[in-house]
Amino acid sequence: MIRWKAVIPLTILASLWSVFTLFFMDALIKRAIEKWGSRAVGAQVTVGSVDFSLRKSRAIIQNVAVANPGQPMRNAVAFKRAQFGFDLETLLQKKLHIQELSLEGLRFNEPRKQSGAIVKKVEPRKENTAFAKVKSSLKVPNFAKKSIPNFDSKMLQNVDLTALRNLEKKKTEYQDLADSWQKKINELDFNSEIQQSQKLIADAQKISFSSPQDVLGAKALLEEAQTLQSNLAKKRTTIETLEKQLRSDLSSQKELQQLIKNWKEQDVASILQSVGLPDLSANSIAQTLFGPVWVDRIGQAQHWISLARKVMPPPNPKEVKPIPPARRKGIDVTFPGRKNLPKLWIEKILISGTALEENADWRGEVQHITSNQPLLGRATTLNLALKNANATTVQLNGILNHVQTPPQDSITIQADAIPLSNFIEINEAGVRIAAGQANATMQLKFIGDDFVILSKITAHGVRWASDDANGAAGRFLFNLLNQFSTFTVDVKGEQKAEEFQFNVSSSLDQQLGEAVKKALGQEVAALRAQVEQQVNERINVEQSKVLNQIADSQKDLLGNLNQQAAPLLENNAAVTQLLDELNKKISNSAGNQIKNLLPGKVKDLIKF
Amino acid sequence: MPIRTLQKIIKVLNDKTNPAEIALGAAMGSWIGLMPGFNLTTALLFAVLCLLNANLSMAILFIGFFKAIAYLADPWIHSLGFYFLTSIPALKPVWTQLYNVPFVPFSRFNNTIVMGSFLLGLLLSPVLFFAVKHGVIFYRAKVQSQLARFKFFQLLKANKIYELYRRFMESES
Repeated sequence: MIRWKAVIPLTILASLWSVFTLFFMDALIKRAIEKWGSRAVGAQVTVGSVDFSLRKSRAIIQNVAVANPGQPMRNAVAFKRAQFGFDLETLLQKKLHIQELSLEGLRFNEPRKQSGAIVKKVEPRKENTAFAKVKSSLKVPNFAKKSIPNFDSKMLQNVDLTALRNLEKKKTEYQDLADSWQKKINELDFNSEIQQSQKLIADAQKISFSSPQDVLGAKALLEEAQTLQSNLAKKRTTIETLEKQLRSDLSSQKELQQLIKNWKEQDVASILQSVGLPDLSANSIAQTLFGPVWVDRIGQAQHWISLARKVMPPPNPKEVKPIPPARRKGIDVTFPGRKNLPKLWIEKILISGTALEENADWRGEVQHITSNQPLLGRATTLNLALKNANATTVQLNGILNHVQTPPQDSITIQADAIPLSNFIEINEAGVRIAAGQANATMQLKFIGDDFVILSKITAHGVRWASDDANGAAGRFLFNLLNQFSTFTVDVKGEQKAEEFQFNVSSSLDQQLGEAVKKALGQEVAALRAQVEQQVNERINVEQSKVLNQIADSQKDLLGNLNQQAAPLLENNAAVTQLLDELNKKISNSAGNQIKNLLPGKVKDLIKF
Repeated sequence: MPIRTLQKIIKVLNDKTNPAEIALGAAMGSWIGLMPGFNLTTALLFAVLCLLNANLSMAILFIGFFKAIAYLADPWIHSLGFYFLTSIPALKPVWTQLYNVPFVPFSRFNNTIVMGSFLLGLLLSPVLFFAVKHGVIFYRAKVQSQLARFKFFQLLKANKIYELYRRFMESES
């Protein structure tokens, strides 16, 4: 049953394999780091050399560079040498436990000679759509792209002016009003009163006052005249009221003129807006000047921290759900070990290195990097400090705590006297910061899947420079900004679910807003005057027509009213005169009649 | 290439090879075919295959065939492995003990697919062994003489003619 002939070849094969593994372990480890590191990061990871010794239980890895997936021509991080010892027993249990790892020559963001992008077999880095959305909304202000646009007055000839439209409407309204008044005036009917007056006057002329019956008749006529006079008085009052209303309806020229003035201003404002004058609102300036760079930096920080968080299991690893994993990959179930160790545990990493561009030294340590924090029961901590000869100091403290639920991770950075270009870079508007220093604090917190970033930068000794390639716009912005050598910038970003809210405010907001208004004010005023003149030319003609039409209507209608009322007024006067005469005649006539009837002596006693 | 494989199978079935060896090759081949990737477990199974008097041609054939079946049956294999690794309290001390023995973790026994495939192979192999063994015996007793009459099989049996044909075709291309 046993193929004895195969024993020797198998033994030789196993020996060869062991020898190969022992001799070529270094190359295998190097290749594994490069392969799996590149997959995890999404960019090239290169390793210079690996010296792995099972006998000495130590390894040395040299010249490692991790490319930045967002900027393939730069390394996110690189180091010269990493040396560590490991526990052989746990290594044979497929676990790596390192008590202390020393990392020398740590460098960040250094340029590469070749691109570190990976072309194939790697999942493309998913763009955070929320960040991309915010960044695309941050546009450089209008005034940084162009100065006041050239305004062509011919543009206005075809513009639909609100004032003209409204004037046309008013014209129609007034015409309708005049027509209705004319109708009212035409409906006035005083014929019966006039006829009555004329009849009364005719009857009064017939009375001779020769007998007492004449007096009585005159008295009756008098009463009738009094009644008529009362009616005529009412009619006269009606006419006076109508006249007042008419004057009121058609004499609102002052109001109309004010309305026309308002419409003109609206038209001017609308035209200025459509021409594309810059948005001089203060709030937008800092956001659009400093925002894009900060969104990029926040996006990068969030990417790297999320990557670190991904390798840490959720706080409750027991809740591994039996869902089908990737084909042929399965899930590794962990069991408690004698020492209860996770698959990877680096107790301490001692870091030293240089930041070449700042000519500064890094020192620090990271504790408890592990693949299973809940099993280990300890959070990962990070403390790094940088110092250089120019008194620049950076202190970075961080904690990744996945022991609790929900996991909480935070990083705090305190930087003093740092070159300003590290934190603020204006590159789209053609203006940059040539010199300056800043003190900055930044706090980044992850709670569950959400994160918050707060940062405050105080800049001082700032000198600006203009990129002439952007022409007048760059110089314009440069002249504005050059007035400010000290300012603060506050950054706040918050991501919840898929939404990213971002806000940058600065002490420059108010100052720059006023400076912009002042600088642009004169040019805006000249443009405004030009537009106003064009608008007035088009509107004034129509305005005069309408106002004249109203005045003429009023004059005509009043004339018609007076004409209609004239006979009534004449008769009213005649009736009043008649009443006076009748009163006199009645008084005189009645006295004489009584005198004739009385005896002579009584006549002498009663003097008439 | 498929013709060459078929030729080998026919040769194995028709010659004097022990049916048990053919069946062992098929059983071990199916077991190795079910296993994912390459790990200590797979390496040990290969070693066992080499050490046993199993027919390697049949083993290779069944490895290929069961690789395809394993890919399709992956979800059930994963569920089987997960069940055995996590849901049987009596086995947990065993797994824990194994997990802490040096080198054993390199077998990836704690991976659900590896465990599920191993168990499935363990169950399937004996069944396959007996099925193939009796199948070969039956074939040699009843079917072989019937098939010999077909020209196709005669052609396959004519090794030299086929080799000449193959060399001719290669020179033409």
